[in-house]
Amino acid sequence: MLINSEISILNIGIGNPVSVLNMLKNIGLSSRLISSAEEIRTAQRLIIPGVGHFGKAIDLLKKLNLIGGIKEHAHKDKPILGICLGMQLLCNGSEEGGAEGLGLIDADVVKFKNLNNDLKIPNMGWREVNIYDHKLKEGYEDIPRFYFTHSYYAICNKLENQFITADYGITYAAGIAK
Amino acid sequence: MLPRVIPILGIDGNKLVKTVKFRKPKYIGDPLNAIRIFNEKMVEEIAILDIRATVNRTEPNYQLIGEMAEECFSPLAYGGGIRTIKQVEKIFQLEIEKVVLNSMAFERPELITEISDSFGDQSVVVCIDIKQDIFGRNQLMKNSGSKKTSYSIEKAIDVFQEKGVGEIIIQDINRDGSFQGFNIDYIANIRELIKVPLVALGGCNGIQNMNSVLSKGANAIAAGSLFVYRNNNPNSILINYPKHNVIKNELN
Repeated sequence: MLINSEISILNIGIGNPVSVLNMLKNIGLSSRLISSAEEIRTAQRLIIPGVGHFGKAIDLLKKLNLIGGIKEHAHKDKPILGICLGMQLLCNGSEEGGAEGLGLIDADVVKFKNLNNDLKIPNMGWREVNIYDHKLKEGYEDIPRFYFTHSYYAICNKLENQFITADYGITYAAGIAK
Repeated sequence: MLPRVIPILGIDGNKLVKTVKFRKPKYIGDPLNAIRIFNEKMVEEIAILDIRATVNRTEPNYQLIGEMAEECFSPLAYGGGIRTIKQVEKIFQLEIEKVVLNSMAFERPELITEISDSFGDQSVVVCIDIKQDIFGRNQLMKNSGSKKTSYSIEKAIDVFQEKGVGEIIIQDINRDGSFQGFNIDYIANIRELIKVPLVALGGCNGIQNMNSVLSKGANAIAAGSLFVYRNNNPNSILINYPKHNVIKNELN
């Protein structure tokens, strides 16, 4: 049973793992911070937090030998939640640093381009998003708001994976489920 | 799309303070307590600025920054005393989302690129402090407003953007703590030069004034005194923040 099993948060010196841990504690869920391939192997539910530079983050995952472990986790059908850059890392690759991603989601991360003058890059601030019918929708308001701070966005190659979309000059995937 | 409304929390040692024209720091209270109140008021984001670290050549107050970050539910930016990428790494490990540069952006603009290349351009903000001298000329200042730089505003914006800055705060020192309103003409004059989000700071006195500066080119507004004093009265301390409905219905 996964329901009561512990949540593991990847902590590799980038992103905001402790914020995630604190927020989970706030809603009564226990979690732990992990940083090694061995710990990923024993993880049931894995969270990859974000904030950072795509190319640098992939380099770090390689250096710490974590890429195989994360892929294996996914291939065993154990859940992974990627937040912010953590979500982007699960995609095919990014224009940020021109690096290949984990390839677990068929989506590409590209830079905002040619927006009109009112839409500055990076996109920053709380934005309302569109949320689609999906099992993960439970618990969200009809029009949820999230804080965005990014110059790169994900485009899903399979539209059925798009679970939340946001608009900033173009419509892009802000939440992906597979 | 709603504009961002950002309280600026000035810190001096472990104290929350508020200045007037960058002088006379007045004790406001305990920074952690302020964060808790802003949490209750559903603040959308906060910037902490250490007003002494650069002048005193001290390290950022990592202990306090970490405690504030741990307490805070909203995205947090930190500025003050940052000189090296090592310090920035340490600050991001405390789970701060963005760093704000001032003096070092002028002294060594390459630091902007170093941060942007490691953490993404969205993580690096420059605060440009402007002060009118007695001849009415606008000078760009560093070291908490105590030293002139040789930069013109055009050159500063050009250099910082070329180095990869993600956001620019334009702060008017003469209006700090004055409640006399944003320097709207100045913002209007430079809006075309700034390609990244432009945050106006200095003098804000209320919603109407926010709307005025937003309509003249600011993408976000920031304020210090407005959010720590009651009814724009510097004798009456009260942490406050507009309700989401007010931001949604009255700001555009």
